[in-house]
Amino acid sequence: MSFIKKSILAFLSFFILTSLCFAQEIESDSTNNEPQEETSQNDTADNDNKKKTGGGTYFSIDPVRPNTIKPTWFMYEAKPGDVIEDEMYVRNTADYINEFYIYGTDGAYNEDGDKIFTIFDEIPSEAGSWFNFEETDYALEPHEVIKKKFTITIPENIEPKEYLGGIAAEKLVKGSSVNRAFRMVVPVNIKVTDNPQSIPLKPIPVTYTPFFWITLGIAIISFSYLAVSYIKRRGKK
Amino acid sequence: MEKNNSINVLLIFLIVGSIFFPSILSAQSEQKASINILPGYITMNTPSSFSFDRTFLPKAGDPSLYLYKILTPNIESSKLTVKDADSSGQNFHVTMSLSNLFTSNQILPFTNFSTTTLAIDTINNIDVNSSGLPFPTANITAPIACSWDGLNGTLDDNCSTELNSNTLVGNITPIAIDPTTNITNSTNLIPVSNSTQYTIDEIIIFSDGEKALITQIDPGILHVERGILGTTASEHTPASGIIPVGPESQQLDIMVGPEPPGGRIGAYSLGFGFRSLIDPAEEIQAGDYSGHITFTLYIT
Repeated sequence: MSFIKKSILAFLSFFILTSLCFAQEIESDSTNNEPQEETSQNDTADNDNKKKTGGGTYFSIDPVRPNTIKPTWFMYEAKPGDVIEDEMYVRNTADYINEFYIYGTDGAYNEDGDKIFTIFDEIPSEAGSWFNFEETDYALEPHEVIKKKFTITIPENIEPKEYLGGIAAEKLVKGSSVNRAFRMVVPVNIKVTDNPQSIPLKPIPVTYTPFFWITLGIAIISFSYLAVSYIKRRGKK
Repeated sequence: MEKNNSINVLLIFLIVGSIFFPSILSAQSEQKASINILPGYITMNTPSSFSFDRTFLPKAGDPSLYLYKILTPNIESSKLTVKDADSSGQNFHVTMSLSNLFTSNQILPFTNFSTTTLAIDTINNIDVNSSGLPFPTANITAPIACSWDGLNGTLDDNCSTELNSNTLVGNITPIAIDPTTNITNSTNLIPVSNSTQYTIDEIIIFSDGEKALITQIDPGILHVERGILGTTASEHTPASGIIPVGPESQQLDIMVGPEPPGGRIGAYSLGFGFRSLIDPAEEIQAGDYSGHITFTLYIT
């Protein structure tokens, strides 16, 4: 067997083995992919109902890079004066165009230990005031998901401790006398410290596109080599 | 020669394999993704019937001080519903708060209201039965639930204990260093140490019980309407303390789920009862009051 053939054989074997390893990683990480559609018939019927009535939290906010501690929360460690830049998925889970707005809230714990978050009309004085969103007003198409940036500016000379805030997505439904505000709040935990540690993040999902084209390229090159070898051999005969 | 042919066959096999392997993996991955649905899409809604119609609010000459609004758990289209789209261990809370209600010149404070949720209560406020009437509140904890099916009697008959204990409250902690100067009983300007701790449309309470409504805020100065809700404007000394009650009540936990934590896919629902008990000392007048109620859903 020629050296080239041996090399091709070894390389392809290595490549398929690597593929198997990738497959395992992807399998274990499949819950971390970009949001999937999962609307059931019941949900659809309910969404139709909500289109008429208009009240509910048919939207969501999710971290683009979920952490491993509380994957649905945003969690950070930073120094006083730091500016944290991050991204979030803003998603309309309804079957209709959904209008809502986003704002930062202060979080706290009540006497029972449950979390509470300041409402839209209250001016946040702590973590809620540190947010700056790329966009605050949304009108998303049915099941549209968009990625938006936001920053958190930690004030200088702030006491090092853990601060609870939240990103609230809210829809206001007008009533005859009393309006109803429906909101979903995603908690944001910010540990302000002089020695910030990195928060462990879930692995970034593997994409197939480059993997596929590299594999295909190698296959074509290998096949061409064989074809050329065969033609040369036929020519010699 | 035979050996070379075997190698060629092996090479072709590997080439074909390498071409199709990504497709095979991709198909496998798509299948996995459709099974392992992302967590987090919990939704909440109330029906359109849940609104405070005008007859809910005081009428001129109406002798009744009790005013009700009820969502009954026995009517499918008339309850607060939370849907948990998956079984990935997402736990959630729903809280409720109410703002002060206003006319152009009157205020009806949220502290005049009390609330309860309605569930077919077992010992721990958990209805474990997911079928039958009344419609279930299965697999949630309802911390302020009243055990009533909404069918017999009135809200007050069945849930007076819960309503009496679930009066909406605001902040009760005074800012001890305010006001920063002597206050006469005629001034509408209240100097404070940090005006960002106060909010427009918020009631403040002075140390002697006088209530005032914040109408405007300037740096270090609150513009207020003095002696409201049956109280009288009086003099106050520096650092006698001011309680900023807040423009909206503290958030009450009304639904916690699923039960047990990290539980199943499901839809969770509650009836909802609201009562206003007008304090006779507070001269509430008839009018077209407006405000808002906030339902908050958050994932724990």
